[in-house]
Amino acid sequence: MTMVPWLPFPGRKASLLALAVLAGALTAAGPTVRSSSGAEPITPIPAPAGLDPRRVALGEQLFRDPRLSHDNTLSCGSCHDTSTNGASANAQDRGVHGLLLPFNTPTVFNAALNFRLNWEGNVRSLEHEAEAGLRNPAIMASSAEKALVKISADEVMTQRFRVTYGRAPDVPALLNAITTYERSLLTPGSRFDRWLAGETSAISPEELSGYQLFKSLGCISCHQGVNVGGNLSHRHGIFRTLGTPEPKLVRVPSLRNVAATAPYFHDGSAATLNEAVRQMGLAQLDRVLTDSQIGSIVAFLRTLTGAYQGRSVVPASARPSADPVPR
Amino acid sequence: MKLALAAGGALLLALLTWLLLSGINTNASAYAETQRAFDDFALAEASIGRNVLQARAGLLGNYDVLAEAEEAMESAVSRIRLHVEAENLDPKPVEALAAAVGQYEDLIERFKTGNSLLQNSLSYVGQLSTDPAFGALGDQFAPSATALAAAILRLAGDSSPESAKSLQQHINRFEAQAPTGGLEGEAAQALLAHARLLSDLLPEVDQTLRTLVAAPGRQPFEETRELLARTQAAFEVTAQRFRVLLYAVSLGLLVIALRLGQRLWTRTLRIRRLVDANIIGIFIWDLDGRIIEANDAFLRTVDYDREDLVSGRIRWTELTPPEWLDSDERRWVPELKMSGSLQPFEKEYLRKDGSRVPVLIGLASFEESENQGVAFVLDLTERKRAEAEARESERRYREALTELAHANRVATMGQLTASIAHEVKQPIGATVNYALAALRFLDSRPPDLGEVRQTLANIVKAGSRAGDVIDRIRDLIKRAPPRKDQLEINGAIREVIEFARHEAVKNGVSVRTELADALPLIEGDRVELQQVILNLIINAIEAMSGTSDGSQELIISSCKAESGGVLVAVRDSGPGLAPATLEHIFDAFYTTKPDGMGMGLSICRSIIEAHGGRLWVSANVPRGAVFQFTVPKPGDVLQPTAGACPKRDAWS
Repeated sequence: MTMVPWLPFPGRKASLLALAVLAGALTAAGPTVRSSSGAEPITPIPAPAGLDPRRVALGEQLFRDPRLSHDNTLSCGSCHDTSTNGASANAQDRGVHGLLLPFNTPTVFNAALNFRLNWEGNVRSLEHEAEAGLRNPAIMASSAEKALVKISADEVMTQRFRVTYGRAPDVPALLNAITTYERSLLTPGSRFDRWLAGETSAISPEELSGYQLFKSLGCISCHQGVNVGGNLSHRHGIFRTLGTPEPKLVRVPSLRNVAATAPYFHDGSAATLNEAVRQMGLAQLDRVLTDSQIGSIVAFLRTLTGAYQGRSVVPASARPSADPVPR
Repeated sequence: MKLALAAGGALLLALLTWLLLSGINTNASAYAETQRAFDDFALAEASIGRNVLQARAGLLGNYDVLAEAEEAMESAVSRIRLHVEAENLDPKPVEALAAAVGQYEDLIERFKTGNSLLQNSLSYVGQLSTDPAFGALGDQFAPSATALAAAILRLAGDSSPESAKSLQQHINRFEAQAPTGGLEGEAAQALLAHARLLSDLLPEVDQTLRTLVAAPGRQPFEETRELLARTQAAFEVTAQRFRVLLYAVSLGLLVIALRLGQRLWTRTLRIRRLVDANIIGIFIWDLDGRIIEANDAFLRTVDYDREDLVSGRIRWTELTPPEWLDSDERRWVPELKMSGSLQPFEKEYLRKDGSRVPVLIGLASFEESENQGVAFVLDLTERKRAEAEARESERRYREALTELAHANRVATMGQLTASIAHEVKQPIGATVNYALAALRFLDSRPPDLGEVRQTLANIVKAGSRAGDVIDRIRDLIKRAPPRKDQLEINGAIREVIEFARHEAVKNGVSVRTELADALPLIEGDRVELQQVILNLIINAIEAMSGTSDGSQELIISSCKAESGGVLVAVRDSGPGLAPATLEHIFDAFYTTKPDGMGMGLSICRSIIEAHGGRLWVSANVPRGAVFQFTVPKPGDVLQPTAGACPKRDAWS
């Protein structure tokens, strides 16, 4: 199984050169180098495909419908502002009863491409996520069934369900509409993706060297794949503490649109991207990154900002959480 | 019949359909689908094994491929589970498989977490030489740092306990001499932290890796696949049995169909033979008057040719003479519609040239359509001509017979001249005597007028009697066609005896009659029957005239024949008849008499047979011969051999 060649050492006479050779061998074996197939560890975001536009439209309407919450004050869109970054500007949002939620709201953009959902990575599908979000007493304090009763009372909505699903509203259709909409919330077309597609001028040399640094430092060990993360769980604070200790195992968040999704970390404790990169270097890599290194990595990370429906993802404007969405 | 046929057909169709459907392994496609799921699972499993090895080696770009493989596994298991549920199979193996997938996922999660750290730290170690912090360590620590890095590298390649132990020793050694403060210390501590991490992580990750590569899902996978394969094999065996059964049933049906077809064909050929043999005319008609098909015999009968038939020029309504059409429509058509067939009846058809042909025709309408049917036609022309000829021949025969009979009567009367003369003379003589007596009574004074009246009355009586006798004689010799009268046989017998009485007396023969009372009236020609009786009486008298021994007695008897008619017997006590004579006695021109013609008895038998009776001869007891004949009463068909009349002692 080993791909790492065993190199004999010249004993006590080992020199910097020898270590450099060893380091080269290790580097060659590491994930920082393009694999033999030539593929980058990050893959471009695909355009959403195969979705029924009527379902998407109905899902979008439901996504913005406050009747889905217990007291008709919150919609999914209250915390996931798809007109900006798919999340909010708050470190933590508030649920229907004004309670602070335990974790920072992750963006709904590209959530469909995540392997597991939530900070804890304990939700396996968008359907479960939507269902659980509705039912969670701290968030919507309702349920799919209760929401359905309210939606069914609306003749216009009932009619839309009939047109879209050929039947009166029911829970599977309700969840399907919402998740179909969520599956449409992809942000392809980032500069980095264009670079991946072969457009060499899409990113600047500085940004490219930031990417090289991102890979060589080992960030890429976790932040890889189509979502640049989002497909494994990890202990946080391996070498140094990082935010609140719970949960011990967090889902590695996606770095897609990361420049627009401040604040950072599961507790929203990092206000800026530079700060987040610095803390990550310390906590996860046991490295003190220099400002130029941080700057270089952040420059790379900014190329990961894509566009939803042709509009670039932008940071959410700060506003009090739990504001009812104007209808 | 039709209903039974339809029901049988439907039943057969249902049977074949059932067999066919049972013979199709309906879940074969579902099974194939499930097989694909198994393949997908195996592919995913292989892909996981391959990719985790690559990831461990740092050659895997990203973990998305693992996520895809896990999703493929889950999807495969849920497809297999659907099949298992649909087939109602033991769910345990597939649940074990699902549990194995869960195990896979846990292992992969653990692996990813561990491996990312691992790669992280390996990357750190790899970058050591370029790290400014490492430069800070200086030559003093370089060898031990290099040794530590080498130990890490060794553990990365071989995570055996020995390697782990070796790394631990290097860590301890490096820790003991590593600088603690300043830039040097920081770099040393970082290296140590990564070394410690790797020392813990490498064996753990490789343990996870080994478990993963050992494919924990293999056993439940094989078990599930085997369960499904077994079930499928059972299905296939059943389906195959049904296919064999279907084949056998189809083969049986084919044989039956062939045999039925053969029988039908044979039957058709037989019927066809009847049509084509042209023994009788056959045609197929409809009630509108069309003749749809006809054989040559029919065409010959009505003298049309096939072209007329094909062009539709022959219509049975036009073949039928106008006077028959009415009875056709009023009588035959309704009866045909009611009963489906007509008993043969005679009618006439018009030939093409307008002449008529008598035919016998019988019809039957087809079962499926009563407006059409088949008819046979027999040309009766020949038969009618033969019948006419027979009638003519019979008439001529009757005429000849009548002539002969007349001649015979005249001859017989000639023989009886003396008797007849006596018969005639007797009342004439009596008339003369009465007249003389009347004269005498007139001459007496006073004339006895009463006696005269009486005597004159006697004269009238005798004269009438003479007239009667002459009438009877004239009747007998008159030539007249035979008549059929109701007659009383005894009266006819008595009259004849009167003619023969003198002849009998002359020959010394006593005549006795035994005539039964209340005999039924018979139908026939009185003169001819009297001729027969007279012939028999004269023959008897002649037979006895040659003998002188014993009393010569002629007995004429009549009685009711056993069959209901009348039996008349004439017995003599003459010498009787030799057997050779008996045999030929009724032949024409056969005679035992030197002056006989040999026609008498032959004519007698013809007359009796023309009356529907029999005439025969037998020996009389104690001697002589007895001639007997029967005449049936009207309505009797044939006279069986009749017995003799009982003898009576009393003279009548």
